[in-house]
Amino acid sequence: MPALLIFGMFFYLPFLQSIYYSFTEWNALKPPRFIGFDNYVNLLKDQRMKDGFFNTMKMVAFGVIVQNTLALFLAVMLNKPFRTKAFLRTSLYLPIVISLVVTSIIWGQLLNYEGLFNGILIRLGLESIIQDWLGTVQTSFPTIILLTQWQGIGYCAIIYLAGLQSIPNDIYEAAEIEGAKGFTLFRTITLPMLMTTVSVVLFLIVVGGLRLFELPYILTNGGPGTSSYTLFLAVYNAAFQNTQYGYATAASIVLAFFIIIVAIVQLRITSKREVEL
Amino acid sequence: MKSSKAWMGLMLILCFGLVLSACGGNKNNNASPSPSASEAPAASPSESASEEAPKAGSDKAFTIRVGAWFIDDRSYQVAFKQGIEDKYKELYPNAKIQWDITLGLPYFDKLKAQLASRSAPDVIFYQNQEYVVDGYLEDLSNEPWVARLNEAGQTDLQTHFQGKTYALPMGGSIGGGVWYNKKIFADLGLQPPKTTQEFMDVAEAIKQAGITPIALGFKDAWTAQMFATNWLQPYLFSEDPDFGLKIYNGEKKLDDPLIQEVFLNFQKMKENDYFNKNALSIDWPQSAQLFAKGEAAMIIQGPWMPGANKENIANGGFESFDIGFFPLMDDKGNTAMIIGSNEALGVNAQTELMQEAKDLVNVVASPELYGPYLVGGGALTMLSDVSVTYDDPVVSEVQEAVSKKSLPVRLESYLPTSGANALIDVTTKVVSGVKFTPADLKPMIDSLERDKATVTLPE
Repeated sequence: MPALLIFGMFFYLPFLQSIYYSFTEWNALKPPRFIGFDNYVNLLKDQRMKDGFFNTMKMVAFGVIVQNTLALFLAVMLNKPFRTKAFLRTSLYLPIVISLVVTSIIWGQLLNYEGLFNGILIRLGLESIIQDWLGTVQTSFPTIILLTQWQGIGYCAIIYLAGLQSIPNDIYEAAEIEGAKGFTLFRTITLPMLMTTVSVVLFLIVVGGLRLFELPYILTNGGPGTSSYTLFLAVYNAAFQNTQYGYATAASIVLAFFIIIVAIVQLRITSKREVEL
Repeated sequence: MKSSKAWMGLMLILCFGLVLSACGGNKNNNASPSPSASEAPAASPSESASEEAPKAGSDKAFTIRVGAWFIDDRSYQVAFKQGIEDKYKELYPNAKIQWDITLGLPYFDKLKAQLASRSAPDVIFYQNQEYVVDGYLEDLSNEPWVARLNEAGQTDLQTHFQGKTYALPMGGSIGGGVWYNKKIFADLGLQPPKTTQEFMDVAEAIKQAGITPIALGFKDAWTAQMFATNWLQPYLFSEDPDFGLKIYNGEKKLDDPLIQEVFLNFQKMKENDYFNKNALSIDWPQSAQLFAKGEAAMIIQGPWMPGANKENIANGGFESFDIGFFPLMDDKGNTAMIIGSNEALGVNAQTELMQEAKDLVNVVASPELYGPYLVGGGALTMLSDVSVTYDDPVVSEVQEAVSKKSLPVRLESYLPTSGANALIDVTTKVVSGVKFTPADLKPMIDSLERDKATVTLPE
């Protein structure tokens, strides 16, 4: 009972309060003022929210297509017997161990106009393409997307690797006796048997993409202009930069339901293809 | 399969909780962080100062809390803090001052939470009028130092509301302007520009000499706001002091041709390579380094720049040079400097140590503490009986610019916070190299329409 009370007080009560605040104009100093659905209507007119939404969708799409495919490919490769397998597995997992804040600062230095990355391009004779990668509208968000892949691919690959290792060898042996090999083995045995893992990885990629915050916050704070805004960053800045807590709460509620709906749809799609072992 | 679904369900709940918990704090954007500038106090503070030593005091033992975001280990700040403690001790021998210092913007998050939960310090350093408007500060109109406020002090926005005085303005500071390397200017035979065209010409000449004309550190968004605001000021307010009010009333629009002109100036400067290439990915201290090294000839910054530059030159071992100052101007050569108090010192309206808190503000207003504080921060006096002199002649150039024309209001005084942030978005977008179009100003217009009710109009 006490545990339930504490849980209710720190989870359900703030949640219910959030719903109320989402219908108010509130700057944390004055008492909230009820304004009906204005906050929800205004979400549709907010440039930061709009750009945040489209960038977040780009992030999710890129993650699902590129990150997922590359992670699976890497996992299949790492599942084969070769000498430096353990080293490569560790190397792949390493980026996830380092704090995002630390990696963001390091990447920020590397990608600066006078940073190492441009230095390498100059040495390669590619001086014409050097630029401030995080300081132009065209490159800031694509750069952030690529940085998320650097950290995310290894993590997903390790999960896929665990999934691959749980597939019994005798199924492959039986299929090989039947004459299956190479990509046919992958398509008919590996992929169907891996669908539960695919569901988990896609879930992590989709939800992780929808919640992208730290990298744009530290590297660009959404700029230049609103070019690298994400939904989470737009919500954060609405609250902590514009001091519009009621509005930010409305945005966070919409975002939360959006994440849930997208995740449910994704789970439905992938779970239909799962094979029970 | 069942367990994976349960796990995913749990993940969904956690995500939902995480998203909602994003709104559990608060932050104040308008407050510019106190930069780590330092300027050795070298001038005598008050010659004609009238001693306003508080008369009250007792042997009562108590601890009084003072909140601030800028008091750090710079020498004049250390002396300021020690001076307050010593002088307050004379009044209340058994009192103890507890300094609640949180450096930078997080101070304002904390302060809001403390005020809302009635646990804020007794004496509060703050920026922005909202604490006054929302009733968290005590009316100090009857305090002895109020009669000593000079004209700038009496018209200061963040310390006054509805004809009452709510805080001691801790010196007037300019909103910003152009600091330049006098040696580079002299070597190239350049004079401080008087019109926008001359500004462009000077920048071109500097570029031709292989030096970056203007150092920007727009990773700190407030520096983008500072540049834009200070350039908009002469265009909008020099000939029409009511321009801001007209924007608020809808008589003028935020896509007014004058506003567009300023952003076209930014575009022209970007197209002509007058800014450092990494303008958007370095912060203001890094841009100040470019200036101190002599790699950039000009920098748009606040009144702390002379002190910060000296410190950067000394720490970096760079070749020393004198700096000059000129205000941003319009095409016709008009200027309109922004002037206002940087920090304000008020009393928590909920404090149980009301008299003691008021006495502490009185102590701070004493010329022997207030004067050196102004000198240290390069600020202008807002008390009529405290006169200060500065060892760096550039401050005289600043004072001259201020006396020519200065206003306590700026465009953002008539915009909601979201509108001011939309202004930053346009500025960084144009400086990143995107061609300006009037449509870029639409988010500002939308912000004003949407959040107009949150604007407290300057009186």
